[in-house]
Amino acid sequence: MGCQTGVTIGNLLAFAICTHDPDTGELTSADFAPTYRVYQDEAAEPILAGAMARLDGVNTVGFYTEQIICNSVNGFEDGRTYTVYIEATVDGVTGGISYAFVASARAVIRWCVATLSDTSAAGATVQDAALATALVSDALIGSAVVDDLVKG
Amino acid sequence: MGCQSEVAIGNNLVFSICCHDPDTGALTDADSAPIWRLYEDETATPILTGTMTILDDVNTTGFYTELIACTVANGFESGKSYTIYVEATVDADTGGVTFGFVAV
Repeated sequence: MGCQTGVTIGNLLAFAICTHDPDTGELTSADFAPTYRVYQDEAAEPILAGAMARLDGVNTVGFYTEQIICNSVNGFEDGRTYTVYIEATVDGVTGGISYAFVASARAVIRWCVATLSDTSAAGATVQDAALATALVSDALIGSAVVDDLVKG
Repeated sequence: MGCQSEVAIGNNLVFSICCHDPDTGALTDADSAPIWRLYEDETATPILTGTMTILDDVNTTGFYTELIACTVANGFESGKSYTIYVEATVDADTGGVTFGFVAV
């Protein structure tokens, strides 16, 4: 469906819906912008919420997307699961859908480990090494996880 | 849909559904808590079963989730595939959905 099932911390994630008239099943624009709420695990308070926007409205019908930033500032954490709940109203009838994805910092961690382990071989710059050091010291990427990857 | 496609052994996994009235297509709460059964590969006996609960009821309609711990103790094995079967009854009509994921 319209959402990837995994995202690397710090990356963008886009999700999409196609809205239909419940009576005819035909692609139809929503009565107003569909709303979404993003939940972490089963916490009842969403970490993000907002409205979706039409994409390429000239060539599409009832097609809405939203792009969110999956970083620690927005509340995303390594290994946690996230659920997107979407409501859209067409012809006065409100329908919904939910998507799920998991956030991972592994790709970031691997880059940090590679950079810190062998900066010359990785072609990393002094700035890369500084960034990797900063990321590893971030609470997001614990040293225990880095140790695990180095061993693994 | 409402389930990730992969989970690391030891991590939690959350799956979700949105219930609709089959007559109108409108988001509607289920008559009772939706039930779920989780199967490994094609083994007929589920390794886990349970019911789902409403999440953020004030701001949502017909939205149910469940969190499961994908641990060895719960029967999860790396490389195996898992299927969740969910049943929900709305306005006396029972519908269903399935999700699939792999443990790594």
